Amino acid sequence: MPTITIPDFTNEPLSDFSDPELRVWDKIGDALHFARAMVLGQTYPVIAGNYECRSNTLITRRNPSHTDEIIGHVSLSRPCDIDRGIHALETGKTLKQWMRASYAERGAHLMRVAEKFRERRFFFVALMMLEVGKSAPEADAEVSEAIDLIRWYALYAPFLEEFSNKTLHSPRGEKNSAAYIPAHPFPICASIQPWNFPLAISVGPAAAALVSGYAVLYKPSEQSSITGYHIARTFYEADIPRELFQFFPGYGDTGSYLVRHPSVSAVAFTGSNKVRQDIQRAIAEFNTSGLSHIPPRERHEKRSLALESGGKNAIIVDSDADFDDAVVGVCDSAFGFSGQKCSACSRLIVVDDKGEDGKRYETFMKRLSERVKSLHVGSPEDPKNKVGPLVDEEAVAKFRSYVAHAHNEGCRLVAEGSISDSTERRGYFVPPAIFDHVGFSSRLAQEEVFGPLLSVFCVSTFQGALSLANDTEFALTAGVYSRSPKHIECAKEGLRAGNIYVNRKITGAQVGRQPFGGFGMSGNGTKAGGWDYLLSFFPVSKVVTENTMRRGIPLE
Amino acid sequence: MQAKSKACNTVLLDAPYFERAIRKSRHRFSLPVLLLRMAGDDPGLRMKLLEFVDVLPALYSPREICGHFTELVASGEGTVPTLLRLVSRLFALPGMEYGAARALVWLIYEKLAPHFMVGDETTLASLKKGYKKEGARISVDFLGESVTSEREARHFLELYRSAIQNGGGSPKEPFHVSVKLSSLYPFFSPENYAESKRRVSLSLSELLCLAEKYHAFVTVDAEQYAFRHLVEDIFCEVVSQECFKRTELVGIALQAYRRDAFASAIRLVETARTRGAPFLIRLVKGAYWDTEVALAAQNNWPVPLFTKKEETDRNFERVFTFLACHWKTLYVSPATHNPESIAYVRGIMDGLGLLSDAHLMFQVLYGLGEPVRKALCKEGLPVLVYVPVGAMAEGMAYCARRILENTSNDGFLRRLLG
Repeated sequence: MPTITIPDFTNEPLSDFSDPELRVWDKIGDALHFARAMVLGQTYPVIAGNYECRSNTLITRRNPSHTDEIIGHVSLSRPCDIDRGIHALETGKTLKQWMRASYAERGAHLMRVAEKFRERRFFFVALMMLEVGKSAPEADAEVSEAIDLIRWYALYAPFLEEFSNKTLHSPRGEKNSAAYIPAHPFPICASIQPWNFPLAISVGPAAAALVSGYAVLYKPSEQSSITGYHIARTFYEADIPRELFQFFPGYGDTGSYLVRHPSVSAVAFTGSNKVRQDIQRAIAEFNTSGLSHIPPRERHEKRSLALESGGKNAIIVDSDADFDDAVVGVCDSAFGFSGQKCSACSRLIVVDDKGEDGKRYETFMKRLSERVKSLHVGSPEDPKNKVGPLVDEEAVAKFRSYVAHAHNEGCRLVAEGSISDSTERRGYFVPPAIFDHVGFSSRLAQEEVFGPLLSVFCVSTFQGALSLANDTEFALTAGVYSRSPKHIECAKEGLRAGNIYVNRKITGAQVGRQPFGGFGMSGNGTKAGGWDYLLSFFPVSKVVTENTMRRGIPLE
Repeated sequence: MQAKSKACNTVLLDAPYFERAIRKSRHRFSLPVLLLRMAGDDPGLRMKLLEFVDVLPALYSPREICGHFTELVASGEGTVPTLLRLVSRLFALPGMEYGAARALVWLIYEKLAPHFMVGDETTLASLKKGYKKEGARISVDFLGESVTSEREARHFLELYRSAIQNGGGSPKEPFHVSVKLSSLYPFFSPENYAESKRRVSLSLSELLCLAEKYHAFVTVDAEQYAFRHLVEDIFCEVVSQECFKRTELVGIALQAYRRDAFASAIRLVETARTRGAPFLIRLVKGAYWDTEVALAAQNNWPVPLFTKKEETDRNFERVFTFLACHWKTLYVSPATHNPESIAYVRGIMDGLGLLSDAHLMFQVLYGLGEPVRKALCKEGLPVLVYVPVGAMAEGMAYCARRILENTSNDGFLRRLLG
């Protein structure tokens, strides 16, 4: 058996805010200043290969913390722009060369992209703070995650090909080999990505697709179009040809056009559950009835590479939990980035058997409420603000409708964050809120809110807590705070979720340490930041068996 | 120069003597020591036992207590767990649960915990009296839950305030209290530098004002590595303010296990010189070693501490010598249980002619440092005992954490138990 060396990987370190010599805040301040002076307010084109298209219809992005400030305008992609970009791919040499290059070559290319992002760390931190209202430490962590994702895929893709080859058994007289080959003469992947992790979730699938030989048609969410544009620019500056990473800003119809385009051979998507199902329907439709117009030898099924959507994630606080840790962990998980993470905690389940001198529920809720009341809401540029804005007006309206619904249903408002009038008027701010007395099948218990809203349940047994935690259609993240080995074992075994966290917060998965992704209605089971993610991106594997015997004698 | 090197020679001769003195005063047969030693032979069991101590304050009913005991302590392999398993079988018998839980709680709360901390005012008062007879004084440290909200920060501030007011300090003998700055603001962190500094400076100033009136000596405790600059910046700024420029009843802890401890020492000397009045530095080795090493690994940062015990000891000596050479600009108080380090300190202070200086004060931890204290007291050296105070239930979690932190191979508890 040949030996296979597994490549070493170390995560990109986060910025150390505690070291004054690193001047992290100064650098972020400088980057914000640079962005305001040089970048803000510009109008950006669609990038369809070597063509830069400008349309009359623009998407205008405003700073969600300060709606008077315009971050920039982006041209809306038109169907003809997309057709033009795809045509360039199908007629040019770039894609052909790219798909013929080895995994190692493509991997080396992507390593240069990671290096470019490393150089621009603070620029992207500033950009995310301005465009989506992310706090500096969270934005900093996201840059590290983006770099990690690129490096991870670039490192493990060549390894996986080597692995698949070396693990093939070839007895005497028979030579076997395997190669991942493109599933399509023009492997083109539409990558439709969200605004809540505008950098990491955009860059990750793009890197996985590129290293697997695809060209990427990237459509960022309209709420993070400017960050999306600068991501594209960073790829080009690392010498990724423009044809291979095309930038198609737009709304849902742009995404829909991309997914349904007959030349698009694969789709990667992260976003809402509804859109995910739309995409699956479109893919199934194409693969069943859409193929008949295509000549037989060119027929290829459209593939869904990674389809990731939301969660309704629960944290269980057991009766013997360390409340010091749990209060902070629940608060961070539920209200970090205003709850706008698919991994965020939106249900809290407290175990309290209401025994004689128990009162654990009351004790825990009191401490949690006090912390929520202590959370400052405001612009992420002031680090004392622990809860930033929501991304846009629509998100505010959605949050408000859930709060109204909670009141109508008779849920009890346990605590609410404080927010000053002047702050509230300036941007899309809402106070974080905790409700209890929530019905198990209520919308607050079942639907993803994507805002700082936490529904709390009190149950009497740990088994009851597990069963309630599993009682949604989603299966993304789940957490448990407990100090009973038996209960922790039960939770590991019984919780239905892609990522389970014990005695820590349930957000902040790291590449290579917590490959991230859910199942059920949360996704198709791919794990971003793990090596098996690549397998779903790899095209088909072609296996060749050669009989090397001549007249009964092996030719070796 | 000659005198100094001579002093250093006596140091080396002194260390084993001192170690013997410590061994002599060690109470070998106290129940908690016996228990910990029994567990000490089996690292797995030791951790389980400490895990049990950690979770105990969160348990109410006898059933929960017995259940956790069985799950945690009696689940391993080996003779002790088997023995404990037999005991835990007894718990399952009808009527036994209540008594067994009572016994466990008694063992931990009444026998083990008081070895590390003090639970109430009366014990503290009698402790103070007893120590006074032997020439030792106490410094109070408040245990409690970690501060997660404004309300809890206010509660802690109130705790410090009333302690200073009721501490009974006098101009001759101030009341010593330690303050953790992170307990004064719930979002104390370097990411949130400006607001942390603003809020905590205000609270600390308020405490120093009170301390001046009631003759209390406030020492700012050292905490996690990430807080080091924030804590030092706040301390230096507050003690340099016009109204506190002249007060000498204030101090800050400095951790010798930090690789950058010497730089901090230089900065503190500079601050003391500029303000024109001395303050105190409590030089410790550092209590968060395991936490910091794990955190550095998780963040992929270089470990900011000395990883070998000997290196920390050498750094302790280096920093101590530097600070002692600036005696009167500021004062330094060695807080260590290591006989070698103590002997070194004695040698240096002797060489500088400062051994009988009124400002010299050895500091030890309550309970764990008792043998060292006795040996020091016998020598006629002034000792300040750092006493963690808190309600048993609240303090236990902290207490267990403290023990958990120190049961690694390099931990001082292990060496203490020998």
